[in-house]
Amino acid sequence: MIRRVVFTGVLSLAILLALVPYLWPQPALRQALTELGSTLLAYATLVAFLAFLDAHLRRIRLQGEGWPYSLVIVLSALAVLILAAGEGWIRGSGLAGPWMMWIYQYGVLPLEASLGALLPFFMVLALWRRLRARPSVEALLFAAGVLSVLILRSGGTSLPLLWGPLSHAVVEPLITGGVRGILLGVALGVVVMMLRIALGLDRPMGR
Amino acid sequence: MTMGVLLLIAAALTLAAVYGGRRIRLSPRALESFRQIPFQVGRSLETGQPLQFALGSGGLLGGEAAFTLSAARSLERALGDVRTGEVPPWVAVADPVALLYARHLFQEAARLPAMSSPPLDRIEWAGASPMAYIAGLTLSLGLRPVAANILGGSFREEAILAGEAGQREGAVSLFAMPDPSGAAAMWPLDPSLAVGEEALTAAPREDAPGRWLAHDLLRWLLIALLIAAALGAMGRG
Repeated sequence: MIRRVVFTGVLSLAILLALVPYLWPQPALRQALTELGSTLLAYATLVAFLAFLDAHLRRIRLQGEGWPYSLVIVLSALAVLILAAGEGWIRGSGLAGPWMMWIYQYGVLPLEASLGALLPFFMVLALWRRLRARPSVEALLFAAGVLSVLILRSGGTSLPLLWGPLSHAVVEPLITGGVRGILLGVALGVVVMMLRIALGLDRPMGR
Repeated sequence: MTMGVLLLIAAALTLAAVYGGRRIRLSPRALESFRQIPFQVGRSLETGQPLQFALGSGGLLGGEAAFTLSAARSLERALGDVRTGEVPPWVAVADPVALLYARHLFQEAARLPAMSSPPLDRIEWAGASPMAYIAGLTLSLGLRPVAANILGGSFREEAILAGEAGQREGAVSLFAMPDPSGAAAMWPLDPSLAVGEEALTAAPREDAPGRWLAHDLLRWLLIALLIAAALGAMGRG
């Protein structure tokens, strides 16, 4: 009982402290909270990185399914770590230095962009399967929405010119209204969830 | 000042709803994404295939903390079932603090008789950025069969890669997407997914109805405020 009260009290206090800078601007408190968060994040990153290495090294050792992927992942992770540490040691610039920026610019970002380029195909495929499996009014409306976006984004044709005015007049107001409604609901949900935790009605730290 | 007053009103309403709700017979909203979790735990036991939880690309320190926490509630609910210990679920996270929290949930669950020690190796740091995270999760789904693919928390359009990989492998899809773009991308895969505010109503166990009543009361309050603000603006203009 005492343990529960103490945990709930500490959690409520933390939430209230985090809210104070929004209600009553206090740069020093905001700075202190940011530093506390950064310290926690640094510790958590270390734990996560060790757990990540451990999981992949175990898969390589046991030659589990997909172990070559794990080998590539471990080698890449260690190479980036050594490079970042080396850059920090030699140039004193750490993660924001030119070597790391080069890796981001010519390695990470193009890979992510190429994966992102696959998304429209997967979306259309999923929609096609939905329409084939169980056609419904909602699915047809969704298909119309996807088609509208594809037409508007297509380059080199006059289709966007023809479709654009109709989309601006009819489709966009509906979409904007719907998205705003969802976002308002999300804001409400977040407020209620945090209130439940602050008031001790929910206990995310367990019983 | 306005925010402070609103917070006080919201706190008072939440308290009134929660304590009043205990006396009101009201069925909680039966959202398919959360209602299915106990059934999927049973199915996981029958098939011997674990559940795959993904807590989203957000963490617990930033603006997406509520999304991640809500996704972790579904995990907590599955771990609270004594049968889960026999086939522990896989959990994919993108944020190191979320990884620590998932570890904490496993350690809490290890107090149950069915789970002798917390299988912490079941928690994976799949990737740090949203796209890398989805790539890691998609790879994991392709490598091992799972009974259900349960995605909750902060996801955007890229979630469709993991959702599609799960369906291709025959896993049941359960999605809870607070972000409208994530929800729109996942809708063709699971039209009964929890969208927006619904995704934040996940409960760690069968819950008291007052919590949903609080949600609904606050929602009506906001609608009333919006109407009042709109009427006020019309009156001025």
